[in-house]
Amino acid sequence: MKHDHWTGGCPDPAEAACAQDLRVVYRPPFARPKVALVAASLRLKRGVSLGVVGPNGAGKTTLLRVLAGLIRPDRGEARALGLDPADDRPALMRRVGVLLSGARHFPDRWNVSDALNFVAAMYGVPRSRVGELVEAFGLTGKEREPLSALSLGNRQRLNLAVVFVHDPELVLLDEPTLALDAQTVETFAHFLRQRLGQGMSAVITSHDHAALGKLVDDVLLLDQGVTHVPQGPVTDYARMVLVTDRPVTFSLPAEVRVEGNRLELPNDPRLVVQVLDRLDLEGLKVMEMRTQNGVEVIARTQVGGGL
Amino acid sequence: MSALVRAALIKVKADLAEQLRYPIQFIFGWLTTGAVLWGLGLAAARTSGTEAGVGALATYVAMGAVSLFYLIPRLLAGGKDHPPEEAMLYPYPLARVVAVLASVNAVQIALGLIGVYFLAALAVTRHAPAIGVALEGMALALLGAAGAGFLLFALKLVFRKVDGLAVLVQLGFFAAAFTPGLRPDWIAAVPVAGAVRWLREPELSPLPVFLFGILWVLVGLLAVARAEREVVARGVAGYE
Repeated sequence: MKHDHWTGGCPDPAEAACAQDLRVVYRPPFARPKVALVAASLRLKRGVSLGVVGPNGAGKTTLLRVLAGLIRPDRGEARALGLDPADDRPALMRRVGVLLSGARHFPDRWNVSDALNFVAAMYGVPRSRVGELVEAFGLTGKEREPLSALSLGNRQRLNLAVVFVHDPELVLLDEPTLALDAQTVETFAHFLRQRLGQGMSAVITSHDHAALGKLVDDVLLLDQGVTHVPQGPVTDYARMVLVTDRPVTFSLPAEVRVEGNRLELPNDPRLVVQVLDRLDLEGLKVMEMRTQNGVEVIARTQVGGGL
Repeated sequence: MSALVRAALIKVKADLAEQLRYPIQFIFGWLTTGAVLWGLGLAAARTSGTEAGVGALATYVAMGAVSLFYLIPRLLAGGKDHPPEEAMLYPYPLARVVAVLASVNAVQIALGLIGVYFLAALAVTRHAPAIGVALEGMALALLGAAGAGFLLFALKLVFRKVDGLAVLVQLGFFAAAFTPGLRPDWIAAVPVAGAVRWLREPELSPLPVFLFGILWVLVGLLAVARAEREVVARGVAGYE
């Protein structure tokens, strides 16, 4: 794994992001403190995309908030692009793109161009850059549409485009694929891969593990505020589950796990087509077809079943 | 800073474009505002002639300043439009973002209300009013109100719900500005009231009101900077 546990804080300023033994407590005034992270660590090299998975309330968004400088940890050390996020947040934000809880908010009365031009102006980025992003995120022809009239999917495309306006060196993406269709996820994955190839780095959380599998190189499991590093590469992220109208009694490719009328296989389109053809040939009907949270399942398996 | 101003102007343009999509609402909204404020001013002055004109102008100025005070905590902390946590994702200290957005808002309010005042005065008296005095009074009132608005914004960042306090302060501004006979020297230090007093007694120097206004702004922005550190330490920037 590229983000093995280590000791000695975050000494390498060349790393894209680093967190060591973070403890974070939310302290709203006149309310009980709430511990969000207990012992969270991560290490991210440049050009790498790291997925953070875990159940609801595990602390994934909090971890991103710490790296974005929105929360100062009680204990531990955090670095992003060599800077202390809480102390150097304005300088850091010139180089980092952030999406929290899957959304960026703008007045509904604005249109797509208003939102992108506003963000570009905030970063001092020329408007020509906005045109590139409109095209890259499939928003061509929708520039004048009020945000209130956009579909959820198009709104999410805009949210993502906004993150990349200033060509960030590091992106922190919390649920980036909310409401995106499969084709758009593919397009975004391609866009992200290009950026990663140019040296950008990413930390991504998502419950859509089929999509996450296309976006990340490594995975970190976060559970009850503690990070766990899966031992060994997690290459088989996206899983597909098929349920047929009767049990499968014939042989299928070795990658397909068969349990009665339930089939589980890697979400490889060619393999899926091959299996569907075979099922059709044998006269079986597919009653259900869905993706499964493969990343978390695999990460948990590798870390151990006690989580 | 120029990038921030450019972004604020884009925000103004986008907001104005939306208002112009509904021209009847836009025009009659301003007409109603002008007529109501003029009437309130006359009623408050209970007189005629020059004093009535000053009374009406004082109402416009007070309304503009209190509107700015009301809007500042909502510029970034109004929920969905620009939550403070997202404003903190831009490469500026929060105090600078809110200062620029508030300044642009202040210019909008000043131009809008003084424009309506000019037209209302022209319609009622058949004479063009002294626009320089009106603008100066408005600027003085907006300065103090902006400082108080920044203070309230800082409180809202940390404590989130401060609407009750905001309403009380607004009422206090009106009371201090329009209570008959309440014109002690220290009123120059009170946002809105200091400017209104200067409108009524233009022979006084506006300098104290201006200096106290600057002081309010500085204290307000320092409070925002302090509140920004506080919400990062407490982790509550994203809380509603």
